Amino acid sequence: MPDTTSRILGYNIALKLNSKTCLGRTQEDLSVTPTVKESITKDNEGNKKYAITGQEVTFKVSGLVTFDSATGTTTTMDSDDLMDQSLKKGSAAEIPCQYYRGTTGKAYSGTVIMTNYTESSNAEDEATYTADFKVTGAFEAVS
Amino acid sequence: MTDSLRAKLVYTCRNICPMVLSEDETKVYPYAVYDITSVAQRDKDGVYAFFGDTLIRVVSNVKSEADTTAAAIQSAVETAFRDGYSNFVPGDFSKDCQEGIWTIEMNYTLKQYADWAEPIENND
Repeated sequence: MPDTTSRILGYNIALKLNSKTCLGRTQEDLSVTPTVKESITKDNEGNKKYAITGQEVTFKVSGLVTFDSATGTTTTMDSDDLMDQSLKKGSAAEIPCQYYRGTTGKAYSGTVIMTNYTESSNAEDEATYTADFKVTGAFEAVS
Repeated sequence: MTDSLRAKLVYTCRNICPMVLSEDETKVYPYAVYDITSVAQRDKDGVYAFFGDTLIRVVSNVKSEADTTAAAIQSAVETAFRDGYSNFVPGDFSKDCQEGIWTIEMNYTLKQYADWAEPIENND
């Protein structure tokens, strides 16, 4: 029987913000949570009905606080860029995003806002960051 | 990036005393035995560092010689491995004497963030 499945190593998966990956990233998590509406009428005879009305899509990116020496780098967002983004407001806080799953999986795109940015530093280890994003609007497969 | 923690450690201590692996221990004092267990650190774009759990054990039959050698190695290592391309975290230090042989053990976590090559020395 031919092997029709193809596993993928984690480093092939990337969240891109404005077509840039986050520099120093060690972990990227995607979460799709359906928005569920509950209803019940007498005709349901005590059995609740559920309907999915949408999805809440969130990303979490964790990595090492890293700065690139070049200004205006077109391929990566370093920790300065992420910090700048975390301080933006209104429409400036919305960033186009693309989610790539290697060359075989489907890619998805949408617009995200950063809902949390944390930098952690101690005396001995590398400084780390965590950035949380939430998709605003549609999140759709790229055809 | 390639792991050069061992090479840099041996090069750093080259003028202090012989740095050997435990298999090469001799009775010619003083000498230092080293052992590094290094692990590659990766982010999604590849290896960005090597971290090495490092033991340096200075051995001598003269206490002052052991002290002097250990202090020189400590100074050299802590200077060489804080150069912007590498770093260190000091661990436990201990001293012991058995049957007239002094041993001073120094533990470090050595960190390498960029490629390193032994400098070409000009002896002209």
